[in-house]
Amino acid sequence: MSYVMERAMDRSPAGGAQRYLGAVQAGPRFCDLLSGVRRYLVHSVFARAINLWDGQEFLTLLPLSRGCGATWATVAVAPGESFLDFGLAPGLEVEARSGRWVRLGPEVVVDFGSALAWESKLAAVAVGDVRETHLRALLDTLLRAPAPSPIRGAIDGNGGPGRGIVALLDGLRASVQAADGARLGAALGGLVGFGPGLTPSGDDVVAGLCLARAVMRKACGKPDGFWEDAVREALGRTHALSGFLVREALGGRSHEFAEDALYHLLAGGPRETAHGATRLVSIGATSGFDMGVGIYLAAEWQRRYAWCSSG
Amino acid sequence: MFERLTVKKDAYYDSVVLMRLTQEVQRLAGITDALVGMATDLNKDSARAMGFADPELEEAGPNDLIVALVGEEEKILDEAGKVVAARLESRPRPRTGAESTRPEAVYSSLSEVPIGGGGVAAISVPGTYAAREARAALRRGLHVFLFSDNVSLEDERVLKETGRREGLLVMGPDCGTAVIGGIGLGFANKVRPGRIGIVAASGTGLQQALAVIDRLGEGITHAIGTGGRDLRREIGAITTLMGLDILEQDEATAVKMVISKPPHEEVRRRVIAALEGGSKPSVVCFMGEEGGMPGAGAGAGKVRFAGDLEEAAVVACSLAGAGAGRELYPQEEIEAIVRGVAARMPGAGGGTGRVGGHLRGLYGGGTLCEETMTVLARSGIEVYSNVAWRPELLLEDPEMSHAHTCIDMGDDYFTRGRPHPMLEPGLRAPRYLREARDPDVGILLFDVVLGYGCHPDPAGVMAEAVREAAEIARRGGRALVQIAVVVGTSGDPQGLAGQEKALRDAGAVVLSSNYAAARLVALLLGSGRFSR
Repeated sequence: MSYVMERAMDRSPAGGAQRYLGAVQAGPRFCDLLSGVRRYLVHSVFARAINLWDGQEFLTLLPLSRGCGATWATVAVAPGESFLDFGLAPGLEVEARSGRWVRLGPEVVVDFGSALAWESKLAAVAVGDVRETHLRALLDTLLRAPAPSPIRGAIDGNGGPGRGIVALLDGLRASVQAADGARLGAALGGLVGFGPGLTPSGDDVVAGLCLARAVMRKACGKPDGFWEDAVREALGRTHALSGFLVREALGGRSHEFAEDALYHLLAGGPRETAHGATRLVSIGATSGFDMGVGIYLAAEWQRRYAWCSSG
Repeated sequence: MFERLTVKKDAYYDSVVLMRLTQEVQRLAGITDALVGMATDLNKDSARAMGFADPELEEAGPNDLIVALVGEEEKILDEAGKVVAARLESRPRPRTGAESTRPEAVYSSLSEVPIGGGGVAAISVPGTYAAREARAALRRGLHVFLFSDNVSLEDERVLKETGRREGLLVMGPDCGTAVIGGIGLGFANKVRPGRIGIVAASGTGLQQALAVIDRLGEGITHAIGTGGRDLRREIGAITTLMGLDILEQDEATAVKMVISKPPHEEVRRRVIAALEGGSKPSVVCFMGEEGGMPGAGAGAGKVRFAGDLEEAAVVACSLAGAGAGRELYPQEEIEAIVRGVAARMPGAGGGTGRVGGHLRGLYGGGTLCEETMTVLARSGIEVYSNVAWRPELLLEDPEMSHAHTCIDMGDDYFTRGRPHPMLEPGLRAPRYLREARDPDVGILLFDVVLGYGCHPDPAGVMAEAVREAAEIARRGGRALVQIAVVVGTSGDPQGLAGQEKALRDAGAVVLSSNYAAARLVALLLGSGRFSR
């Protein structure tokens, strides 16, 4: 009971606020942090996300309702709480203890002792033909989403300000089919890094393409091809966090909501596909939508042109 | 990497000071790990985990201070050592005479308090030192609110006998809640002034009673906590009897209430005799004993007996002239909730609302957990627990639920080195979702306790878990009923209505009475039998 009172006292205005957060779920890559194999720093802090990095790889903490993933963990916080109020700043060293606790800064400790292990559904997905009913369900959900994305023209057929992007996306499809490396490089060059935000719209749509392609290729035992090489080469055009997420997608890993949407598209029913897509488009202002467009295009191109199996 | 261990013999410091000092040292550049604390077994384990294996560490006892430092260079350890020494040598500045004469003065050290100054000393130091601090407080003429646990039964008796001689209350040890003259101590709810005076040997039990009293429009004079062992034979209800005497003499108190686990028989007789000998009507809730509503032959003379916390509060309000003297949630209302469940979840029991799966209850309040088990046992439903009173129902591993299970997550097993769930309700979320994933589970039950000292938005945190659990059940194509008991008053800082709405919006059935929640569970599990 005395510990309780200490904590109660520590919460008083005079004592300052120390937060002790419970991690609810954590992806497998958090083992590297908890075991001390890799040393991480706080990279960036947002109201509802904390990014950690070791100079190459990123780990992200999100509130419980925002989904998990291989490089994500969720913590239980109230909806009104902002990570910006936790006294965290870029560059703070992240300290792991006893394989269980992580100190993010002077005032924040995250306890992973009871965290549930996150597992990807995609690891065991059996990929058959992409069904039109499922694609329709995904497309309808995307079209209904109010995301103000410049990529929208690629699916609504209205062109408009996104006409140039539509042409670039068409270039991605055609160049892979034609094994035209120069055209692919040019199209990727116009997309990667395009758009505002921490993960630009162009990166997100490429990540969606990469994720769907990686899963479908893995299912039929196809190794990386020249698409994968070209994407890796283009990632120097965007910033570290976004580039990392696209690289993860090349490996068939992404945020839980993106993985779930793809899983249901490939192995679920149309209703589950729509539900998964609804959760996906809730990520960020446009990120989830843009990734959804990438997944949709990859699946549609696979159905029509065997695009994922090409290149 | 360089390491240094320093042991300071017979040096005692407040644990709040040491915890903050540890944090401060850990923040110093070049320090990779640090521990400043009393050499308790737990802290010695932590030092060993840091890599220290010194004989000096093994010999150190709980009265000794250990300073364990790991740093990148020797000189960094020197600097850190200086910081530790400087902080430990500094003492709080004594307040001026003018400040100390103010009746509302608050002190951070007993040495600042004028002898015979009256008032209450709130003590929360580790149990090893708590008795010493409590003795010092009593010597200075202070009542004692002893939040600390791990105080020996012998020390408790001596402290309480000393207090009785001096006319001073010793509330505790392990006393979670008290409200004295409108001022809350520990985890306390904001309650309006009224005519009911309470003596309680249970923190969350008291909070539940306060919540019901508030809901019925009544209020309290005082709520005196006693600590959970006061009605044991060894203590003889010293604080309870003193508290009842205070309430007897208090003109504003019209009705007295006593809340406790069933006491020793001899102690029980003395408490009942004190109540019968008083001039005011009273209600007694010895949780686990049979009770009954007024008029049902429950009790005679000035004393009424209640079988649960809700009933105790309802009867007390009735005696004070407030409320209708009926259950907070009549049977028809509970049945209507079951019908609502059936309408929302057609899969539940083929549309009857009855649930085929098991109950999993995750409580922050130990008394509420025990009350649920008692109510369900009366309905013929056996519940496993980490705090079960029947050995055959005690869980082998508190981490693993079995059949119907209720867990007291405020128990030492779960709070060792971690905050209590009343402070960080999110620490229950992983277990909650693990239970939600179990295909054999049909009902999830949890409490949300409001009041000063508790988490600022406990319902908000748990609402996220409720949404997630609903999604898990939806994906699994099964019915999952989630029930939240919100223990709080309309004046609590978290905002009672908003807290209830957050949980309701997330999909939980929200009740303000734990007893009613247990009855609901019994109905959902297919038992129609309720006997108080």
